[in-house]
Amino acid sequence: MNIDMWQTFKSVFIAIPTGLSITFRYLFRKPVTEQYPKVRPKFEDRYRGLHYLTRYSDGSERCVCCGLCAAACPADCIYMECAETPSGIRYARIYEINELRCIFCGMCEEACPEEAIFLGHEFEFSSGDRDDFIYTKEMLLANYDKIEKERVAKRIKPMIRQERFQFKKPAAPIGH
Amino acid sequence: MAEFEKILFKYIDFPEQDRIDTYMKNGGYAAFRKAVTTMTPEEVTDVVIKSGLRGRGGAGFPAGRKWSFLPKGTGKPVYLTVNADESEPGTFKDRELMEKDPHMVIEGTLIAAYAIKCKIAFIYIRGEFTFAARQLTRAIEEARAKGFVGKNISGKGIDIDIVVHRGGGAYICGEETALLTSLEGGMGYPRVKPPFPAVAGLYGCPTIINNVETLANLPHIINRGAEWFASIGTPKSTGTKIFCLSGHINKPGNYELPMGVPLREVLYDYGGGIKDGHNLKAVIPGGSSVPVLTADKIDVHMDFESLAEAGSMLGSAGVIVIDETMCMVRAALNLAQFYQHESCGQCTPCRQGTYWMLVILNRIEHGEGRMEDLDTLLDICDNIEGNTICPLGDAAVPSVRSTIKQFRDEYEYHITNKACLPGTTAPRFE
Amino acid sequence: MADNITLTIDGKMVEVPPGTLIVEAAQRLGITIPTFCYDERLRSVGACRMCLVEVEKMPKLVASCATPVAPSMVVHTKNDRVIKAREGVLEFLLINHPLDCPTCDKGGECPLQDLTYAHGPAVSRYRENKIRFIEDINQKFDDKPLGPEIILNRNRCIMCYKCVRIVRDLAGEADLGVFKRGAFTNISNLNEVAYADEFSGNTVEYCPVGALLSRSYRYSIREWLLKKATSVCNLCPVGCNMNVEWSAGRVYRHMSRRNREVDDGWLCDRGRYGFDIFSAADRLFKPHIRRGSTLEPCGFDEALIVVSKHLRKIIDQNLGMQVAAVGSPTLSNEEAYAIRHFFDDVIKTPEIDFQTDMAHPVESGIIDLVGLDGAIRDLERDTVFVIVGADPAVEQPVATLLIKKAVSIRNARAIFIGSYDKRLGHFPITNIRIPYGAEGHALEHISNRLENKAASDDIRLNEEALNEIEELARKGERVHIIAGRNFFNHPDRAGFLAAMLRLRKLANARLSILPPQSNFIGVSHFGLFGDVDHSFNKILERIDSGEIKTLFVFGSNPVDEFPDRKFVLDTLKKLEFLVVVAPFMHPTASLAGAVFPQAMLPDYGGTFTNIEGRIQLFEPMSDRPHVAVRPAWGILGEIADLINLGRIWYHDREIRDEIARQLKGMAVLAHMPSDGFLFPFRSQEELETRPVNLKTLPARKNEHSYILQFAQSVHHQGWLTEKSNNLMRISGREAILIHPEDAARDGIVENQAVTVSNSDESITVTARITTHVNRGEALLVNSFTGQPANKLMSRDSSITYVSVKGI
Repeated sequence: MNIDMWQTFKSVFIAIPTGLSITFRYLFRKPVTEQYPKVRPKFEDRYRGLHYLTRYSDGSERCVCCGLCAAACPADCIYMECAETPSGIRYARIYEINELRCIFCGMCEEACPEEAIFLGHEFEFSSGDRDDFIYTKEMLLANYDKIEKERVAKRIKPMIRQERFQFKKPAAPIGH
Repeated sequence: MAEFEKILFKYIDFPEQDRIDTYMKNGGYAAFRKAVTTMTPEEVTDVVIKSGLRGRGGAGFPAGRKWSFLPKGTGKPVYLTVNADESEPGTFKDRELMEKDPHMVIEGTLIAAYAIKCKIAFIYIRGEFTFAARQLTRAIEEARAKGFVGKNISGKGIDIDIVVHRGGGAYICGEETALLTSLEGGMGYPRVKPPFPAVAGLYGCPTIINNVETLANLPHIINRGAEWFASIGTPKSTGTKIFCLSGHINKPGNYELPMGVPLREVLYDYGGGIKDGHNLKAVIPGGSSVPVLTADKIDVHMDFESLAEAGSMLGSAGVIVIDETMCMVRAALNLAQFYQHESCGQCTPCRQGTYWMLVILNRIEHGEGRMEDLDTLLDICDNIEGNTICPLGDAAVPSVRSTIKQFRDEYEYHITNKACLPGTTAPRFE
Repeated sequence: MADNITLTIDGKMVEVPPGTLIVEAAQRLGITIPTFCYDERLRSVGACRMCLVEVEKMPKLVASCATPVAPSMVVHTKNDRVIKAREGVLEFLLINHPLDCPTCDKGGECPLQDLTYAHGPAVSRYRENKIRFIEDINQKFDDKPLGPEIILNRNRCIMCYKCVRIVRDLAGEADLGVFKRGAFTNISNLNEVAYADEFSGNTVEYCPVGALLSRSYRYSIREWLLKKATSVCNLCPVGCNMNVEWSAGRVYRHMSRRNREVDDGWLCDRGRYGFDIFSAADRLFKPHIRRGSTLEPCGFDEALIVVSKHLRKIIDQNLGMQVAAVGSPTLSNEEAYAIRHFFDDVIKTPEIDFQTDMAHPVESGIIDLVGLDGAIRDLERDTVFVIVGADPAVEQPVATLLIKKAVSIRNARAIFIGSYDKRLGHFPITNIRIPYGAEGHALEHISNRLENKAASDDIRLNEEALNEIEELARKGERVHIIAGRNFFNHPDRAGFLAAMLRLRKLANARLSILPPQSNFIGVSHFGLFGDVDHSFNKILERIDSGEIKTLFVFGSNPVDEFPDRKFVLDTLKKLEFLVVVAPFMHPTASLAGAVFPQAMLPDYGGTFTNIEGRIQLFEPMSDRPHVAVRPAWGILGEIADLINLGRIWYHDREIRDEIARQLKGMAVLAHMPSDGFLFPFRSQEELETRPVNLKTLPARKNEHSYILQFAQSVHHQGWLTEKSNNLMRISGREAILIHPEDAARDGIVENQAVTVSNSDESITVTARITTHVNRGEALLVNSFTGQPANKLMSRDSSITYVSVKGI
């Protein structure tokens, strides 16, 4: 009889307060919960969110529709059709990314030889309709023009290096 | 300065030596007559082999042995082409022979054509040598009038005709297979060997290509015998050689000297020493396609074997003298310019490699060089040498490689100080 | 015969015949030596230096693509020296090569990319500006259009000389050449000469970089997205093997699928660039039914029901004889068999034929002679070609490559006998000009000489050329007589044939009659041959007289093809019911009561028979978006099923199984081998000669009348090729060629628009003046459907007289 009562006493008056003490300790600690959407999340520079297509400083698109991003994509979510401007420059007439298929791995950004496609910091693009997630070239460029351009200017990554090739004088053949 | 008898240049300055009457008075065409009337073609070839005559165009291949490679009984005509496309920088010996003693060249051609049983011989002459071409054409007509060229020579039923063909101005057409392609009417692109021209050359027929100077020796060998010829020079490099002296030398010009003469003698005893009393820095002993020799090596003997041992080559014996006022980078740049311009463009290493070497040397000379450029240049040389269709690629390499090896400090000075070594500012010919 | 040579490559021994190149010997061991400029069909140049290997006892590395093997050679292809040389060569190639990969169409299928990845340097040491061949300083890419189809980018060229060798050695033209020297060497054409020769597409396929590209494929898709369907070209009867490369229901290009027996890897531009016939904008994809006076699109079942009801009525009343069916010589073998089986066994009518372009159809004695005598590869070994009434360089280009090879390499003689001059590239040939219709007379001249008989003086011929033929024939050289397109519609075909048979016997020659259409031989042997009694010409007469009331047309377009447009139009209007299976709404289809959309390559699969009798399989693309598009057997099977007298064929294999069971000697069709099989369609019996009775030659009516003749060009063959934008861009417009004297008399100058008219009708074309035609004859090249020449023709007369007047 006495032993049972000791077990009961232990479990009620010793074990429970020991456990509850952890709870009480945390009750007065500062919570780590970020109060989204009141508080915006902070991302590292290399956070992979919504894609954007970049432009040169003269406003022309960088994308030449080479197909490497589509080939590199593990989710097969990029579709493009190429065309030629009257001045002979290759560009993407149609360029679409199915953001629902996309896994945001960033392989397209790594594959691009023209520094044309990057993954930005946009993550709030939900919708109720599946069709809204097919992002066309215009939408991806708009993402750059309106939102990402400023962010890129402030960030370290991505550091876009190439400017549009300005042809100076050709290599002077020596002796001719 | 030892006295010895000149063979090729004996009558070079004799007045009217280019006229057939004078030439014959001085003993000309006797050898050809002797060969045609008293010797068989095989005997002529034998004599030439025994004389040890080596090609004078640069390769140094024994002439008689080349003739013996001709296949017998193919039913195809045999052709002889005389390589008068003398374009190697620093070489101008054939020009003097053709301009002043064209009949000796003609007679040598006739003897060779008789030996290999050729009915038509072509003289492929460099397009820029207009005077020499005229001399040769006129000499052929004079010989034809006297019955040495044409049908039924000396009544022996032998037909030999000689045609002078002028090239369009390309160093590459001095390469034997490019010469044949150009002669056939195509672009002067060398062909892959095998098949060798002796088996399938001009129009697919057996063809022999000999240099002008080589053939000019033939009348004398026939007249005076193989043993006499072999007694001149060294045992392996017999006979005399015309050395073309140019550069910073007091008496530039052509000098006929026996093979094996020491280079020092050529420069100081015959050439009169370095111009303006400067010090010698380097000598290119065999035309621009051979490695450069530094000034301490000039005791070497001028024959095929000794120069090969010393790390260079006899080549065409165009001796280019460089004194201490010459910037070696500028010298290499000049030669790289030549090879890039003359490359035919058929095979990748020569076409792109000569261009790359040129642009790097240009950058170094104009003060924009980088340290890794020197190793890049040496690597380019390794990648060109041996990987090309014809020896032009191999010829472009020695000037760059040997100057970097022997004068590396000058290159490094250019790269670090962005200027030539003091005292070596050479005149700029843009 | 010399013995085989044994050599060692990378430690393994191999035995090869003498003359084999090292790279070929290595291939037998499974060792692939990387090359750029090597192609086993072209003469080796050894220019790219990529194939360098080490051969023991040779001081320098050796170009394995240009060096034949020698006994006891020891070759190393993978040691350090060779690896360094390969890396060096690739580095050299890349120093001036532009960084165009993202925008270059060759990316993904580029040997330079692949070999750099396998053997090349990872980083470039080149720090200078690259050499640039500027086309336009403001452009970025320096693309130079060489012609209507081929685009050249000289910056990318690595000087492998494959294009120059293809143009000069293979095709025999001089369009492309090498300019300048050294690092500034470039391949280009002269500005005045457009590069539009019929083999230009091959330079694009075999160029190892993106220097030569096709405009029709430019910037369209990447190679890794394309699926390939094995196929056979159906624009000429050589039947070159090709791959149809498609993606998502659209065909992007045709590439060669090398068959050593037939095409050896070459495709002519007609087959290569005709791929966009498939995706022409006005293709039919839905059946149409006539309601009232208009044809309206409808569902497939609806159209089937209308046709089946009509046929059911006919069968119930035993009026099968009132039905006729006509096919086309471009249908596949299975389609021909299905049509014969349906109309002969089910409908029970004998009126089945395919010769919709002939007013004097070929009879059974000639049908067995149509085809090539021997194999295509044997053409190379013939020493004399007597080509009468044919232009094989235009009609069967890839087979003519072998004639060109025989002429250029083996010194064969090619002698053309015809009323206008022909050419084989720039290779030396002889043209013997004769008046129109005098082919039989010319052959008789030759035969008479061989029999030492006197020649008649009805025509005067080039004596030298005749001497040549006589001499060669007497020497016992291999003579090959080839007739072609102008044989079939010849005004004196019987005399022409008899003269050919006589010469064949006298010269112990081979005799080939080559049709211009792709499956003439297959279709005529698998069931569509109606002989004279049931030929299309007779069918039209019976329609005219009311005996035939229903006509089924499969694949052909008689209104545009038959040499009497008015008669066809008037006659077809008398039909009760016309059913047309067509790919486009062409003039015949617009007269129909029911139109079914026809399947085109590669909608369906099947087999074609080429001129050697080789039956070759072509496969459909696996993704067919248009359900209603069917081949002839698909439609007939459905109809048979609906009227309960047959079954639906779902796959061409089923028909082949049935043919294997029913027709003699066709058992192998049930298991088609991948490279086709040869069937002896041509009669193997000894051809008897027959008496030669030649008709008198047509005479000019008056000074202003011309005898009208037709020639096709390589790119334009009729209403079908006209639907290809690519081919129309390359082909010229129609032109009528007349002699300068006639032009002067009629006041016509070069390139003037002229009307060509007979008493009732006229067409408008452009005039060209040339001495390559006879006086009094006009040669119409490319009759376009907008200005159809069959308006001027009449089936009553095989000679058409026209007048030509300037506008």
